[in-house]
Amino acid sequence: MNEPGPLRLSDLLEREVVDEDGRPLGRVADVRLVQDGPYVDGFGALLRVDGMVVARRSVGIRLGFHRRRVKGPWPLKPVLALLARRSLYVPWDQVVSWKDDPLRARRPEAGFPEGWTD
Amino acid sequence: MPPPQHDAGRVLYAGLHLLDRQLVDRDGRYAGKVDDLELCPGEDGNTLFVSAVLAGPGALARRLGARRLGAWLERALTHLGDPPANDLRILFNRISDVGDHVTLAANHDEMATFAAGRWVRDHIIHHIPGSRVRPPGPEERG
Repeated sequence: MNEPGPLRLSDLLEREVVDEDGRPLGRVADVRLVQDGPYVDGFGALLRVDGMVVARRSVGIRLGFHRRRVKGPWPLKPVLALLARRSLYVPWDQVVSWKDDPLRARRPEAGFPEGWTD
Repeated sequence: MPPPQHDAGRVLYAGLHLLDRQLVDRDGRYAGKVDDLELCPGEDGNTLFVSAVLAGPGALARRLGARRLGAWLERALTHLGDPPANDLRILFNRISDVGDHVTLAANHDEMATFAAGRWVRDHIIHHIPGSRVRPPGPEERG
């Protein structure tokens, strides 16, 4: 967040997330995008940032080990899938301020959206 | 313009489905990789949209933490060609599909993301006997 110019995905990934009381929730492991933004000729609807996967350890999540269809290799699959189960999904409308570091968000009450493990 | 390949409303996870994916031009040739995404706020100032795909060694260096080196590389690479072939930001009107790879609605010679590959092709591979790489035309030099 120190560079001028538009925000980048890499400015969000691995950023610490805290709740409104300042208690740590984890780091941004991935960002969920939904294709329902403004229409662009040739591509269609733009991708909108819908929320963030927040976790203590992000590598297994970005490699997709939490998905049911990923069967191995053992023991990476069970270990990384277990770590992914401890992650949170923070919808973007629960983010209080994305310009601050750490990023501040309301503690999520609901779980992951449908399709997270597909 | 071809119609979009996917229904609106589909879900992608940026790190899992987009980062490091191959960029392929409209002829199916390699044109770099997705090294980062540019996010711009909408009219309400809070909703963020993916406005461009960023590619090239500068974007990758910034993503990996070498912010100063990355910014310098990005500035340097913009001087390798003339617009729009020096633009490392690929807006979505130049992207036709996002799937297993990202398909561009452009030729890889028009993309700055292929600048390094283009330089190697024109200055090294072209000089190797039997390489069958045609010499760069006057409009491609520089």
